[in-house]
This record gives sequence, C-alpha cells and structure tokens, in this order.
Amino acid sequence: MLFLSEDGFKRLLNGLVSSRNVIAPVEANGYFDFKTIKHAGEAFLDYSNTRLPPKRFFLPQREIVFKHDPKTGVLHEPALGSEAVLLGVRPCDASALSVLDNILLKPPNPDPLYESRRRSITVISLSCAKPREECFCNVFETGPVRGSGEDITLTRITGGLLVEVRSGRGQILIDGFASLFEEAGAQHLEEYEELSRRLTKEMSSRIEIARERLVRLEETLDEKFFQNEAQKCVECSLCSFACPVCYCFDTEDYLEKNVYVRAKGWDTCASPVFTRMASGLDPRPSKVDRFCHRFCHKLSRIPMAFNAYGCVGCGRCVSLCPAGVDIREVLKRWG
Amino acid sequence: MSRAEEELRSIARRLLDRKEVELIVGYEYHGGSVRPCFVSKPEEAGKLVWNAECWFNLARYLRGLRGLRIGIVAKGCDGRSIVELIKENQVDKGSIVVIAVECTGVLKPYKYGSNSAERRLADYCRRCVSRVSPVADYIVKQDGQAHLVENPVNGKDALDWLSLFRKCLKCMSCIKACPLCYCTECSIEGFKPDLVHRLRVPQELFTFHLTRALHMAGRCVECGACESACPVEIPLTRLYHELNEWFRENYGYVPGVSVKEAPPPLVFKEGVED
Repeated sequence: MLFLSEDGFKRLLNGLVSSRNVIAPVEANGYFDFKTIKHAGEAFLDYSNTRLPPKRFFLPQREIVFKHDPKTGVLHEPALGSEAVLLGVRPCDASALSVLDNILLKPPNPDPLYESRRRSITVISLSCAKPREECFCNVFETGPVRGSGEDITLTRITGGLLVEVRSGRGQILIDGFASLFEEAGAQHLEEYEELSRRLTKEMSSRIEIARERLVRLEETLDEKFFQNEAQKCVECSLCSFACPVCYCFDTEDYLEKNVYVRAKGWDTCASPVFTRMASGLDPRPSKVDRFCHRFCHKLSRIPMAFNAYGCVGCGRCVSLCPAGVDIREVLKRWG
Repeated sequence: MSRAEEELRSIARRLLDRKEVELIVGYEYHGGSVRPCFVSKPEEAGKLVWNAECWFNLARYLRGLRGLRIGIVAKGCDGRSIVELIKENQVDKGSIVVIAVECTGVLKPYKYGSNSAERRLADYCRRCVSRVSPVADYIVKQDGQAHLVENPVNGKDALDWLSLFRKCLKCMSCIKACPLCYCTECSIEGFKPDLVHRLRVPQELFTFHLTRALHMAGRCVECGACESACPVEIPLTRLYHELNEWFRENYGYVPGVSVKEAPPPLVFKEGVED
C-alpha cells in the first residue's frame, strides 16, 4: 500500500493528462458522465457515481467487426484499442469489468476487441465516499471501497489517498511517477479499514445471499411474484443499457458505399425481438418470460457458468427504471 | 400523510370494496421516491401515495390492462392522455374510473448520477395547461398548497438538437414510457421497414427522433414521461411542444382537452374542401 498526498495527486493528474489519453468523470447537463479530459481541472472527482457505467469504453454501443470490399477482396480489420487511462471508476463498476473478463476473455471464444481494449486501458478506481440509497454493492462484496478488476485502487483518506496496486499494468503506471508516492503508514491503513467498515455499515441494503439458493432461482421461480412485478415493467430496456455487466449484443450486416460492413452492438433481453427467430419462433414470447430471464441470467446462469454474479450492486437499474422494478426485492426473496 | 392522499386512499378502498373496479393503478413509496403500483385488494389501498414525485404517466398501463375494470390515478396530463386514447379507440371510457388528482407540478426525478441533490420543478410542468384531468369520476383537490409553478415560461431559446440527439442511446425508453405510443408494430423499432436499427448509430438518430416527433405532433399531451425516463436527459417534451404549437396554430387543435373535439387527422376526408 502506498500513500499519495493531495498535492501529489494533483501532480499525478497533471502528469497523466499531459502524457496520456485520460478519461474521467465530468459534470455534463445535470449528470456525471465519463469523458476524455484535456486538462486535470475538468475531472470532477467528488461525484456519487456516473449515470452510465464505463462499460462503453470496453464494449462500445456500436463497433465495426470488419469491412469487406467485394471488388478488391480486401478485408479491413477493425482498429484495436488505443492506450488510455480510465480514472475514477467506482469499485462496483470496476468489479463489473472482472465479471466481464470472466465471460469474454475465457477460451474457447474470447472477444478479441474487448481483449484489446482491456489490455490498452488502465483502470484506476476511486473508492466511494458516500453510498447512494440505491447502492447494494455490500451484497456482492464489490464495494464500497476496493473492487476487483481495476489496475490501481485509490481511496481518499485524511490528507491524501491510499494507493493499492492491483496489476502489473498498474505497477508500470505507478513506476512512471514513483517520486510522488510514499509507503503508507500504520495510521493510513487503520483509517482505511475503519472507512471500509463504516461505509459498509452505512449501506441501506441488508440482504444476505447464498449462491446455492440463487443458482436454483430458475427451478424455484415464484411465478406469481414475477407476474406481478412484470406487470409494472414497460420493457424500456434501460436496465440493461445502464447495467455495467449486461453484455448481450446483436450483429448486423449492411452495405455502405459498396463495402460490406458487419456491425456489433448492445442488444437487450427486455426487447420483444431479442429472441424472435427468422422462422417466427420465439422461446421467450411473453413479457413475464423476458422479465424472469433477466434475473435468472444475472443471478443464476452467469454464476453457474462463470463463477461470478452478473450483478455488482451499482443500483443503476433500480434508480433509472421508470416503473420502479427493484432487483433487491428478487434478492430478498431468493438470496 | 396529506389530506389529499387520505382522500385518494378512501376512494380507492371504496371502489375496490364495492367491486366497482378490479384493479387500481396508482403510486406507492419506493426508497426515497415513488413508483407505479397495482392494487387489487381494499386493504392494500393504504399504500397509495400522491405527491410531487409521481412523474410517471399511469395511462401507459391502460393498453396492457384491456378487459379489466380499472381505477386509475391521473394527474392533469395523464387525464389528457386518457382523452386522446379514448378518441383513438384505445381505451373504453366505460371500463375505467378516473381518480383525478389536482397537480401542482412534478419534480424532475433525482436519478442515479445526478450532479445535484437540489430538486426543482420539471421543465415541462412550466408549460402545463391543465392541473386537473379533463375526464374525472372523482376529483382529489390539493390542500391549498402553493403552486409549484413560479413563472410559466415557454422556453423559446433555441436548443442544439443535433448535439442533444447525439447523446441518445437508442434505448427507446421514451417510446416505452409514452402512453400514446401504443403501435404494436412500431415504425421505428420494427424490421419492415427497417428505418432505424440500433446498430447504425449515429446516422439514424435523426430518423428516429424526427419520426417520433412527427408521430407525436398534435397528439402529445406533454406529460413529460419520455423526458423523465430518458437516461441522458434529452428535453424531448420541448421538441413535441414546438410541434404541438405548430399544430395548434394551423389546425386550432390542442390534444387531450375534450373528448368531443375530434383530432383533425381523424376527420380528414379526401376530396372535401373547407
């Protein structure tokens, strides 16, 4: 563990911005969002969390998989990820990246585009200072201080920040600014432990979950409960668009100036056309089917297949859902 | 609990008790805010709430509840959308009981990642033309609370729609939250014609928003559900308001005001001149 003084942090920020492409939370039109910053002053690090997760820097809403020119026969491969530093990711969102790593980097079918971006973007997380009412990261142990999946963890303590290097990529970045850091003292570590305990205690959600019960969610489904909840759902798909973990995608081929393009981008299981096949067959024809699927996938199928929960407790879906559908209520019943 | 809320609950309890309706669509508390709820037992009527957090337009649910006798809690704008739905043959007036709540404006929702906890009146409420639903079986008055509307403004300052649309995620929650977007085959979402595909951002963002805007012209009741549901805060109601203004100037029609007045496109006849 290292200690970085307030002044040292300012110098680190300036140093990063002048030498690298830095993406940080900024204030934009009434909400916080990640943006590439040109100078250190633009970064707004006193934020609750960003409205949308940093997922899009690894899995863009739309990307070109390849282009093919039928006249010349040339196949254009997409540009791979460019070097960047993603600063100020909250622990829950950083943990979502480790869930995605479990899913998208594992053989036999790793996603090369995701892999290249994951390799070229250094993620620096910033522990929470004040959880929101919707937050429930304590349930999945993905926060409020220190997540998994980041390269460096920063935690604000008196007089500066506690720095924990979490990966080789993080170490390389720290080595470039070695003079700014000092070894953390016992009082720093003590304050960190105390902060971690206090914040976890402050979290409003007290849900105990057991993996054995959740993985059987599908078999033990209480249809009445889900029917009632699904009645409220307006199928707007905001839950999956705002989710830091949701990774389902769609592909489309189209012609652009006589060049074939294959695009890939976010899709959502809330959409009625998501599972509809060309023949017209639809394995999830009703809203209740689709509604159940979302929870079963996150809480039961992903844990069974990839040994990680598909939810990190960031609380975005709870807050943004116009109908007030609350995944915590599912957890309370089946956790 | 306010007196208005108490009155709302007792009306709901009575309606369910006497089996005049099978289901009441209203709002309940959820965390620090409120959310829609469905109440089917008289003893559950006590959870209904009514306050300035109730931004969602419950008329959105009517299309999914056809065939049931429904009691619905409606603000002024919600009532106006019910009027439009009746005129467009989407709702049978005989099967719904409207509990109209007098509205003094709703607050802009305090959502995840908002940069300020300071609450203010939603912009679209400043352009409100009816505080009470034009169709009402019961009217719940407010307790003489000061109107939240300080200065009704039209907001004529030009907006840069180009850069606003660019933020759009094409999540389509504006469509899904809208009580009047009831097409079973949406021209924007559908595959035939494949007007807007989610993967062809950003070229098709304009097709999407302008198509939707034209579909809302002269129909939108400016309840603001789309705008409040939007995760990237595009002021959609402003866009539809401007089209509504154009419609009013040219056809003298304001949507949702009276059940009797027919929407001009519905009474248009080929070959007939004024």
